[in-house]
Amino acid sequence: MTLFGIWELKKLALRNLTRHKVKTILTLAAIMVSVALYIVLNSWLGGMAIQSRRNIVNFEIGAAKLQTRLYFERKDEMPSYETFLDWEIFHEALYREGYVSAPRFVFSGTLFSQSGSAPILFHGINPAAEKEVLRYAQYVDFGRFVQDGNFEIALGTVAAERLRVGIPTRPLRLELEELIASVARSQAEADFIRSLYDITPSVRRGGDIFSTEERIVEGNERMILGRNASQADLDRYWNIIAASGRNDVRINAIIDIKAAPEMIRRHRWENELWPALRPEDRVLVAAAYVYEDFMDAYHLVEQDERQLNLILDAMIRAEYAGAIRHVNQLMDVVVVGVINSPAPLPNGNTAFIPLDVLQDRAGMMLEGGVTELIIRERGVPDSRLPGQSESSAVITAALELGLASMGRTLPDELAVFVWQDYMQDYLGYEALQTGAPQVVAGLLLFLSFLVISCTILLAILERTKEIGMMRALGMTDRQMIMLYMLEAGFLGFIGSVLGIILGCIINYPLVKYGIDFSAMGDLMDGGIGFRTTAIFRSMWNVPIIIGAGIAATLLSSFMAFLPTRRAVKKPITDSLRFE
Amino acid sequence: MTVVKAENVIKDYGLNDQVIHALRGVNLEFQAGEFAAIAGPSGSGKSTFLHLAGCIDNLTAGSILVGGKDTGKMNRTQLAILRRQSIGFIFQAYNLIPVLSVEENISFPLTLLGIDKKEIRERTNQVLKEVGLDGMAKRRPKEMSGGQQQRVAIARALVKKPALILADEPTANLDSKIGREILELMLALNKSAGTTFIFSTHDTMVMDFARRLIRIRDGQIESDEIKG
Ligand SMILES: Nc1ncnc2c1ncn2[C@@H]1O[C@H](COP(=O)(O)OP(=O)(O)OP(=O)(O)O)[C@@H](O)[C@H]1O
Ligand SMILES: [Mg+2]
Repeated sequence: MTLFGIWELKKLALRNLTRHKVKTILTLAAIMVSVALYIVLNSWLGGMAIQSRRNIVNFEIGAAKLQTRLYFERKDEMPSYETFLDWEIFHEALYREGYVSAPRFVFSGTLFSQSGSAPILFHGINPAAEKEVLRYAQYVDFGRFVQDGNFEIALGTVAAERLRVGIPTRPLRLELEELIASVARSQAEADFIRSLYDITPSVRRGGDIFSTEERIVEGNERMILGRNASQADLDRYWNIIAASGRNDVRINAIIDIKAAPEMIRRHRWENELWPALRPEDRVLVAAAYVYEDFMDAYHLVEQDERQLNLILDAMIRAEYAGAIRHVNQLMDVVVVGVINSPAPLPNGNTAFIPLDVLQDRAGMMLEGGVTELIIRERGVPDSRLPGQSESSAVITAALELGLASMGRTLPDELAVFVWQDYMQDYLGYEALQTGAPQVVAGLLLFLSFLVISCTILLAILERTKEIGMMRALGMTDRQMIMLYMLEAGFLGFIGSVLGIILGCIINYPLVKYGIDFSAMGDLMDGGIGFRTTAIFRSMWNVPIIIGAGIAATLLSSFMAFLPTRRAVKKPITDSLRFE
Repeated sequence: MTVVKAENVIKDYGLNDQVIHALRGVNLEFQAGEFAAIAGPSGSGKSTFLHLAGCIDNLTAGSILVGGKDTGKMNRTQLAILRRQSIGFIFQAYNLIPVLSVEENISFPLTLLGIDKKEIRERTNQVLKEVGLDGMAKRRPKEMSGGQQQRVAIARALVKKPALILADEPTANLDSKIGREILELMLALNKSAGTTFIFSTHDTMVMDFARRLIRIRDGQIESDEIKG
């Protein structure tokens, strides 16, 4: 009999599992539970990770961004002065080579409504282009998405809730009455608004916590916007609110722009600017400023646009910090829509505003500059994560090709960065999240293998005499070891199959229906963390499932190696005498 | 033809700094077809000799030749293969595998030899008949009496047609009537198949069955007689 002819003894290996049924069942249960748990945890976290990555790509940043290298270096500060011009040309060049793209000017600021304020991340966007790359614009809960040329914004649902603009979904009765009092122009409108809500009585237990007596607290009832309110009703409601001015808001933001400063104090001039300037630039700068005694400062006197640009370039080359000007901007806009998408970011403290309005009439002094152009391959399904065709190198090559066909080149200061470049925090979080529970599952797996090795150790001890007999009958050491590894392997295999079945049974509803965490909605608004809202879904990862089964079987089998090897080191006569 | 040849065999056991001389220069030779008993008081070295002849223990000095081959020059694996091919064991405590049926126990040595299934079945059925157990093939050991179990053990030793069967006090766990039956069976098999049997005992009834009686005391051969 060859070494692998041990398979002929499979019947013996299997029957050996029936010697102590309870012990075998307990061991199988341990393997089963750990394999199942491992599968479920992995599938769950894998599902969250995939969904998060899809949401990042489809709702946050697309596959990649065209940006200045300097912006990318300082992206955490959102340097709104690091802009680039002519996004239309890059957009066209990319389009010719099979990519859609959308320009954005991103800045942070504060949004004020009639009843409060909130810090907001503003996105100046081109609605048509934006809709080609990202999907959040399809998820306008109330109202509509923004349109070119209008002083309007679409707001994330979290911000809308906080600023009390738009339609409240779950106000207290008193809050709703206040709203009605301030927006309804007639009794009919007031009744109409009331009719859209269902009341859930707010109950408080009377007296002590053991009391079953309940009482309704007047005015504190939770009103819930009826799920079956028609679109027409909601539009009418929205219009009533809008007409009251409740949706009018004011943006207050400090936009940093690059400009030659109006005034430079003498000590800065002498210590910071002058030494850093290239000698050939000094003449130019000196000619543009005059020193004034009473302020002890230099004042800008140059008027010519071209000269001013040359001066600015010289200061930027000298890395003079005073060349960045903080401009306080105020802008009045109307909230026209509330976004509630499957991804948390657009739903959060986020606002979208037409780029052309920012650029031209509002006078934000952007002069056509944008901070980024977000990019996605044209026509790829949303479920597909960016692959090779959306890598930085391939997009850059395509962009250069497209530009060349238009007789242009890609400026040096611009580069394509992929989504992962912006998501280091998230990817770190994801690795931690998908890693940490695996450690737990690994520990469980390890514990169940302790159980297996105990079971096998006891079996070998108990069968010492039998092992002696089998060796006397001519089994070699290696055959003996293989026989017990086969037995342990069967144990692992059966346990794994049961574990896979159990894991799949648990995972099935998690994939099909997911778990609704919408009650924890507010917790999901962090900048990092899984990018999913409301319903978390698991996934099917067949390699992980099969791999877990194979690994458990092999590991279990290996557990028999050392004890059996020790058993066959013993003299046969000693084993035979063992009682 | 010589099956086993022991030359000046010495076996010492070390036990707590003390050396026990279990065999002190044993010279014995067994020819094919012998039916020999090794008799002696407890502790005289009977089991020790059988273990050495069966290649499941190492000797201290001297040599043991099985089928003309010097076992002292073989490694563990070669010894295992020699045992598998040429030596059958019958143990006092039967030592059957409890989770296997009678026929599976009997065919176990044939499986180790890699013999094909059909032949295994034929030889197993044949041997079951020879030991008088046909009809019990599907039973488990624990469903049988001691005598029946020892018959299974004999069948298991016999089925591979070894040159030599070693039996260490095969009847010690059985009452005398059953013991006699077992010996009669062994003797019959020795006559019909010519298998060499060497067994140990300290029971005079068993000694009477032997065709050759070797007496051993304190690890030395006291007498060696071949009975007519
Ligand atoms: N593993 C061992 N370690 C130490 N001494 C041993 C060992 N095996 C046997 N002996 C000693 O060797 C001597 C011979 O023992 P052996 O088992 O061969 O006797 P035996 O004739 O078979 O006796 P019994 O009739 O009681 O089975 C005895 O003194 C015994 O104590
Ligand atoms: Mg003995």
